[in-house]
Amino acid sequence: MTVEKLSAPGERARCEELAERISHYHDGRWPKGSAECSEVEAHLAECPRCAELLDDYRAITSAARLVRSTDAPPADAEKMSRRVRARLRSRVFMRRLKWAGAGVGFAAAAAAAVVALMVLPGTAPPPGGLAREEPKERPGKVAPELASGERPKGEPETPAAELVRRADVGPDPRKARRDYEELVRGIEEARARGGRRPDDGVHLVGRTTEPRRRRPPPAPRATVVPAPPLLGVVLGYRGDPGKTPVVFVEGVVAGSPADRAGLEPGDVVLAIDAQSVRGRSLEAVAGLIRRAGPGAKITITYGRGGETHEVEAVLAAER
Amino acid sequence: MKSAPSTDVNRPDATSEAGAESDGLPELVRRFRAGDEAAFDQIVRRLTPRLHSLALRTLGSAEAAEEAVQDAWVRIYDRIGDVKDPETFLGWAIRVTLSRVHDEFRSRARERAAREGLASLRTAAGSPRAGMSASEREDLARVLREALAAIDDTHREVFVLREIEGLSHAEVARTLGIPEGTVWSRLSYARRMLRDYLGRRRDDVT
Repeated sequence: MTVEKLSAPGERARCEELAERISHYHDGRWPKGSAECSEVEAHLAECPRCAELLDDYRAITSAARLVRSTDAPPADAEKMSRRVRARLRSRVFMRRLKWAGAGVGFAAAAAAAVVALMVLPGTAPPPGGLAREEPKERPGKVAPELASGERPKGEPETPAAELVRRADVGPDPRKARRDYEELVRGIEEARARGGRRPDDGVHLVGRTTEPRRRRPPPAPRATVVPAPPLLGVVLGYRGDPGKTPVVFVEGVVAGSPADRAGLEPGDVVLAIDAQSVRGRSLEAVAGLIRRAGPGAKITITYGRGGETHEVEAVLAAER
Repeated sequence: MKSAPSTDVNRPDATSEAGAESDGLPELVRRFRAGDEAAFDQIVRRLTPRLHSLALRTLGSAEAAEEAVQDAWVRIYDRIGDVKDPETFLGWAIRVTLSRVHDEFRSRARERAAREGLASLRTAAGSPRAGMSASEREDLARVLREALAAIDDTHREVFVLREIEGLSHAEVARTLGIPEGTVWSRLSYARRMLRDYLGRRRDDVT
């Protein structure tokens, strides 16, 4: 393990202050020779950590350019237009099914499924307003003539399509819901008996009858920052979608000050010595810990299981 | 130690490159808002290539890009009333698409951490692009996309528009409807977060 020379607290603060400017410098915000540019360059010349930061920014930009230069196969705008139209029409169908003024939401609960039926052209529209004239648009699963809206000649009506044609979903919204669910069950049974064909003339879209499964929480992603061990934690960094990224304890060294203080993996670091770490980078949080110095006592505020806790830890003496 | 500022290669104004697709767009938007459905179809045909390539480059998957752009168009159709000035439609449509791209990120985020990610990117920074194989390039792109999935939407969209789409800071500001100063600071923060995510070194204990 390499041991880094600890910077003075003033130097670390300076680095933090300049971190944003280093990003601007990387983007060429100031002309060469300007006061701002010179200030950053002077700091880069004497600070290996910040020079490394700049190198990392360059690497990230290079990767982004790689992504930018990726050959993107041209989109089929015509196909996109047809698909968007199909989706918009199926929604009009949904509104028709809701029966104006009914005010009954079909999808009130997980078990109360709402589906839209898309029937390929060629099947006669059934009574009750279930008419649908939508080409099925899944590439690779439908014959070209079906995608263009024509049923192949000689193709018999499938059991599922016949069910849809004969269905009579009446105006009463409560009954309509039951009829609808019965129709979906009938279609699924017909498919189970006859074997599912991708082009049986009926396409169920929208939510299924299965309860929607909750997405599992994202696995924590960890990065760690190099530093001499004072507390005995491995810090991680997790960016949950839509939330401010958090720094958390990914690991605790057995017998370390962190272990004695009762910190555990998964604890979210909230504050160090009453200074909030919200929105700070991993390095900044580690810096706050190290700034106290070897042998110092620090107060760590952390979150665990939805509750906030506070502990004191005595940092290890200098090795 | 390098001292020269790493300026990006000057890129022509993105909106001028998009001249063909922007021509007559406000008029089509007005017609659509007035009830002309065919105008909407024309807008879809005209802008799909651009929105699709934005989604494809960012997500790295043709299937995901197709879903995101389709969803975006449905939302654009529904929310066209939000567009007060047809001249701003293009930027608004890009923002809607980015929002759907964010959703795709969330639903397709990989659980595997990008180990050694930053080391790989550093190596790439020093390598001539021509010397990299297609699979190496794809690996790096994947590493970056995984990192992008881990940061929040607000900062990701600035990074995507600036670094992947290559828009200038001013163009990003116009597209997102935010001050240019905010673009600079959000970009800086996005880079810090990406760096934090990507930088993994062994035995690093605090």
